[in-house]
Amino acid sequence: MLLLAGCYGGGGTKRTFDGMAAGPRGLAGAPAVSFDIASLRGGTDSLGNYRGKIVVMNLWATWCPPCKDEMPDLQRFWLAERGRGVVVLGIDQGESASAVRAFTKTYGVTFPVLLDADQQYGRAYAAVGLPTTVVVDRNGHISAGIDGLLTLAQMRRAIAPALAAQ
Amino acid sequence: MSERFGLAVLALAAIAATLAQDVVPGLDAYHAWPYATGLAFAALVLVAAAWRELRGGRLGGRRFAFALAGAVAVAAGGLASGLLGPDTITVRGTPGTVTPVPDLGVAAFFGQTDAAGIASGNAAITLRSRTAAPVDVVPGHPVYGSLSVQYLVPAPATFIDAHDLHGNHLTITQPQGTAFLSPILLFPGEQPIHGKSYPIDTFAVPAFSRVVRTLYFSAADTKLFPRADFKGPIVLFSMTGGDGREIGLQIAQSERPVLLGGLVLQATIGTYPRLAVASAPPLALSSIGLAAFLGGLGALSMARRKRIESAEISPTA
Repeated sequence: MLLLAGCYGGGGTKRTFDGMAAGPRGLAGAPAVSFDIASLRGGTDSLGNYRGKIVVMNLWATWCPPCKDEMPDLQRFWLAERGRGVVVLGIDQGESASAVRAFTKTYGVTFPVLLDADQQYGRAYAAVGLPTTVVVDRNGHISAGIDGLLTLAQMRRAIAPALAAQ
Repeated sequence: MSERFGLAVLALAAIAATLAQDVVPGLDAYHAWPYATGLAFAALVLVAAAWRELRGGRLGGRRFAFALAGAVAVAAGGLASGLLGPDTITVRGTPGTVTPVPDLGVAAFFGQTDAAGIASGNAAITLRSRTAAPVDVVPGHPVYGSLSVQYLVPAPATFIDAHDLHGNHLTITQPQGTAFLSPILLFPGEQPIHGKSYPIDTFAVPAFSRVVRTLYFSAADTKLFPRADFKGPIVLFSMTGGDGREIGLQIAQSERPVLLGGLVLQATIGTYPRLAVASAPPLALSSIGLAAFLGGLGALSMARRKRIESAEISPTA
């Protein structure tokens, strides 16, 4: 009986811990989740609609300076790579269509842009800042998750494993 | 009081102490030595008594021994769960995120939700592991493992909507929170006021360089504001600018927009679950043991009644 008692703690064993976002890097290999949200072109759209293509999903916002810096390269990347089955999907975090439309006009953005009013993609993809880029392969799995601004060369390197896997 | 009556009371006490882990899970007491020694002592006394009943040749001895054995089985389950079951833990996660729970060897998927889901408090958490099918834990329906129980504990949560004065929706971030891009406050902090702690959280509206500390007051706690007549929980916004300058305070009731610092803020106040994991006796062992205890006592009672009836019939036969 004493042995049993000795195996017990003295009480006070309660613990509370928080699930911490480990950042998008830790998502590689996981299935990509998809949510139906508003599209800037009208109606709704989702990541899941691009299954079978390599999707470079970019989480951004109009107030975010690095997002502004990255946008011209992202547009160039889209124009250069779309012929190879690569889609750039911009997902604005929490802003109105009017603000996003003005921004995309200023930067000449032609790739599809979704409006994530409830910031569901931002939460699910463990963004720890903006911009956040997630590469999803043709099978709907996350190939890479990257925090922060990417150059054109870095974008190309990011999709290389997914392209090589076809 | 007969010896058997005393033993039955002891057996009932051991069963009650064990099943308390199911009824009121997560108490520290289940992992403390008085609980363990109490159950172990009761089990030893009951085992010894059952042995005596089996060998004593008293009326219904086997039946009473069977009942006591059932109580011992239940108590053994309670002892095992306290000894080998997990410590009580509570896991707080942002909706739409995944959190590993090493104590269970699973990943907890905190269900996505929106303002309506926060208001209704009906979100679920899914437990996934490499070896078993996913298990949904929903409010009011605990899920039992071999020596554990997982259940949801509703906790204060608030969905924040922010607009500028032209009605443009704005991004909410939580630079110090567990999820950067979440408009849902889970209030992990505490702010002491007049000797009592109140849940507190912080969000930012980066487009306007605003940081907003948000204090949560339950419906009962709104008596701190005696001049107001609030019908439910409220939040108190305390806004600062990017330079740390105080901008102002504003009280918000659920789903009623308020104006503060050039922004329209709307709080949908409700709950979002936390995942609680606690020790629990094995359900099958508890059920079988309880059935044996009740069955044994029932059989003993029937044997006594038969004996009395036959004693009443014999003199006239």
